[in-house]
Amino acid sequence: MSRLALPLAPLAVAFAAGIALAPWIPPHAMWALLAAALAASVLVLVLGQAVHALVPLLAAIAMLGALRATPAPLPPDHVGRLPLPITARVEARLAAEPIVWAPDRARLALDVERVDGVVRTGRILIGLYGPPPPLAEGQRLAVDARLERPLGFRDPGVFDAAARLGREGVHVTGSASAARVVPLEPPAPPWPARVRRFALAAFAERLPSASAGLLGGLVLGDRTTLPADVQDAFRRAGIFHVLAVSGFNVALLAGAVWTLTRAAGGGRRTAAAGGIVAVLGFAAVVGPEPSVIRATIMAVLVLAAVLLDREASVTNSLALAALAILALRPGDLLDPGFQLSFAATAGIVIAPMPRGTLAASLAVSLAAQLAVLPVALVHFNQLSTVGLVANLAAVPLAGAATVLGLLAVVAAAVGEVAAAAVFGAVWPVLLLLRAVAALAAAVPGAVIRLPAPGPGAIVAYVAALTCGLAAWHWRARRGAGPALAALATLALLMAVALAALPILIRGDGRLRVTVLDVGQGDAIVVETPDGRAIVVDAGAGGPWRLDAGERAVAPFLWNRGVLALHATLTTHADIDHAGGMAALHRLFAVTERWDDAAPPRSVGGALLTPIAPDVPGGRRNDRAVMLRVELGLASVLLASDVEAAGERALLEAGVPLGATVLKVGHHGAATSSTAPFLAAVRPTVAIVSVGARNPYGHPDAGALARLAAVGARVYRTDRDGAVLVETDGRTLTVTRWRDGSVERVCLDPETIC
Amino acid sequence: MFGYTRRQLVIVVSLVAGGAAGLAIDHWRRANPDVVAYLETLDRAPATAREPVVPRLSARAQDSPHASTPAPSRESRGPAPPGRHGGRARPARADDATPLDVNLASAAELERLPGVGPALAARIVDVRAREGPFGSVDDLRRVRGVGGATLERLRPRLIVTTP
Repeated sequence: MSRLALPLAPLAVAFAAGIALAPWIPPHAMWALLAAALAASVLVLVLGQAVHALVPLLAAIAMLGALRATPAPLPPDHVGRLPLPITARVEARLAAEPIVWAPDRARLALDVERVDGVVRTGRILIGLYGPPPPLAEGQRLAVDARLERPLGFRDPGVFDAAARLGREGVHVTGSASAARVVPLEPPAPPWPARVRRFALAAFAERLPSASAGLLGGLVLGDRTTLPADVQDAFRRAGIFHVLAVSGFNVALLAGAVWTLTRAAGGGRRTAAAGGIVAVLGFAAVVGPEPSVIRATIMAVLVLAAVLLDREASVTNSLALAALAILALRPGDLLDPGFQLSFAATAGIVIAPMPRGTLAASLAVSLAAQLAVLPVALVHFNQLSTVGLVANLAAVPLAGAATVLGLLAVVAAAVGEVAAAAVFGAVWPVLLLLRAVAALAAAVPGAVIRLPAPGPGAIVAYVAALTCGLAAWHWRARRGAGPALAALATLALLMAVALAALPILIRGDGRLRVTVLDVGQGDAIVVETPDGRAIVVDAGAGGPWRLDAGERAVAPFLWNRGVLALHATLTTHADIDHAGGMAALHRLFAVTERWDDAAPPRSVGGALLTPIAPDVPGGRRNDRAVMLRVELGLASVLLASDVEAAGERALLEAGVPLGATVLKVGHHGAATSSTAPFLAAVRPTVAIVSVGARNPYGHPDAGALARLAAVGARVYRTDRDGAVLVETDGRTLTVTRWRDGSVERVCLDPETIC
Repeated sequence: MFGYTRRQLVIVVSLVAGGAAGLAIDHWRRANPDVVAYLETLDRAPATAREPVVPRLSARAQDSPHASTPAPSRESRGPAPPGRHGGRARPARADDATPLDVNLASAAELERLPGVGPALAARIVDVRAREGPFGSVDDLRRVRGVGGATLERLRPRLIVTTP
């Protein structure tokens, strides 16, 4: 390290820390702290020792990050200021190539120019249904769209898509029929989009579809045509990262250009300049993902160092890349792609490298795996056990396929003979890579699902890695350093203990019933006093739609420490109840299936009774299975979608229905919750599981009035997010997840609570 | 610590100060859009500033299309206020012989003119919004795709009433 190089890593860390702290600091305090820290560092620089200026300077940089991350008020003509939802004619420019993710489904990112003829600004996302017309990046178009605020699932431990969009500056989403899209000018894709289209078309033309999709992912990071099961195999095998564009692709491209130029007799500088041009062009073609920007900045800096005869500092170029991305898009700090990319690269850069090709590849793989472990657990609840070995086989294959794929694009442009040769060579490599992924994914326990570790566990884990690294360096220089190694082990044990806490503390004698927010649909998790979990319906799901079972119910369960299900109950076959169930059966070991009426059974002290109305020839909703859960004085009735006929049948059969908590039937529809039924249930708490802006008009005002008439307090998942009911059999608490408000209900009139 | 020299620290402090000033200006701009819009109108060259300041201000400051009646700004492409131009620029009947005011017509109305497609209509509206209203019918030549022949065909159907 030369004395001239400015160490950027501390500055980047300070900036990132400021962004992370932004939500907890009031903006006025940020400005005050920034001014004070700047003044202090100037004062120290003028009067005192220069080194002492660093601390206030880092504080000032952190506040700069915090201010950058503070959302500014929207401009007055921003589309987000419109009274939403509205249906309007939007004139806009396509900000990116349209994403056609199914033959009749597409997603458009639009930079708005006018709404109903009035000048507006802002970026919106529009979902198109129906076969989309040919569109290209940069094209102006008009579309009659329904505009609304983005809406995610608001559940504990579940990814909120709306919050993510907000961080990206998208405050309005919409939907439109593809037939209502009017291009205002002919499609004229810019050259990067044309190159991309040419490459993907060449792949699709000369390779079978699955292999073409795989090559598109390897070379360009485009996974839209890659079958879901292949993607799933790569994910399970812990080698999904080869399907995203990262430093790997950029390094291969720069290396290939370097080698070819040198072989052709070019000098080092020519090769470096050629590498820079190729890398920048490649970045323009694949698009501005955080990992692409990181890899491009680092590669350009390293090549520029060659060009200028300077020594490149990899740490510094990594820090500069982080600073550049975070200054432009501070919201990326929380993006899994950003975190995975920087964690893996930092791990590889920092870790000590042994000699020998095999040992070094193993060390690279291990360093990257260790570094991304907390990130993968936090975002995906995923711990890969086979990734370390699978990467040893997959990375060289992916590298070969990527280089051949890049060559194939060139060959396809040159001529048919060259193209046939290169595509002939790349196909077996792709097949082999898929075989490796399938083999690794088939290993039992390839992926272990665990709850997301808390901040304490992550800090302990990072401390363990730091101590381990220090111990390794110490040993290399001065022999054994037992104190550091012991400290590393201790920190690691603490991290494991803290991370495993949610699993260990299950079964505290309390019954929990959580009605999850899954949009329009039902998904309810019952946790018995001994810690077993039963899932009653799992929301909408299946191919070509957002799977609530996979996206909401499963992460909720993992983060609760539920790793296996005692039972599932699909109340009836409607898609908004049964759709997500297949994903749950794929992701969890399920002991029992209760899909019909059954005698009461005791699970961990709670009594559970599936009840089915006997309505011969009735509608599907009326034959749905209800579940009654009892613990002590508390009881919960989950009424599924049962309507008036089913309710009448249950009353006539004399089934005991009284309950403290009622999951209101059929999303609060007018045809359910009849007065006689509610008189028999007499709920204190009523929970309506319903999607905001649903087209059915649920919940019905009359049904809500009938609930109020029997004295029930009404909770709604469309307004409150998930509703959490918790009871020890004597008192009961109800929590609204969206605002965290808690209400208590006393069940035993004899005692004070 | 980390081996920073005095010179490096001075550079970083200057960069941070510059960044802070930039952020402060940006936040101030966002907080005071009216003042910014006024300053922008002062900054415009007088040749294109045919319109008084007020309409642009209100067009920028209005938060919803229903908040106020659309001012006759050159950005407004909706129907003109009925009081001022006698509704001439309202959505025309299919073969309306009344001439169209180029500075008030919407893209949809321009499309009804002979030989004007959606693309040309959009370009006319664009040029009007970007560079200012047309001083005369001949001024339409500023629009790419409007030549002598087009102009002569359109002349009987167009007028310019704005000053």
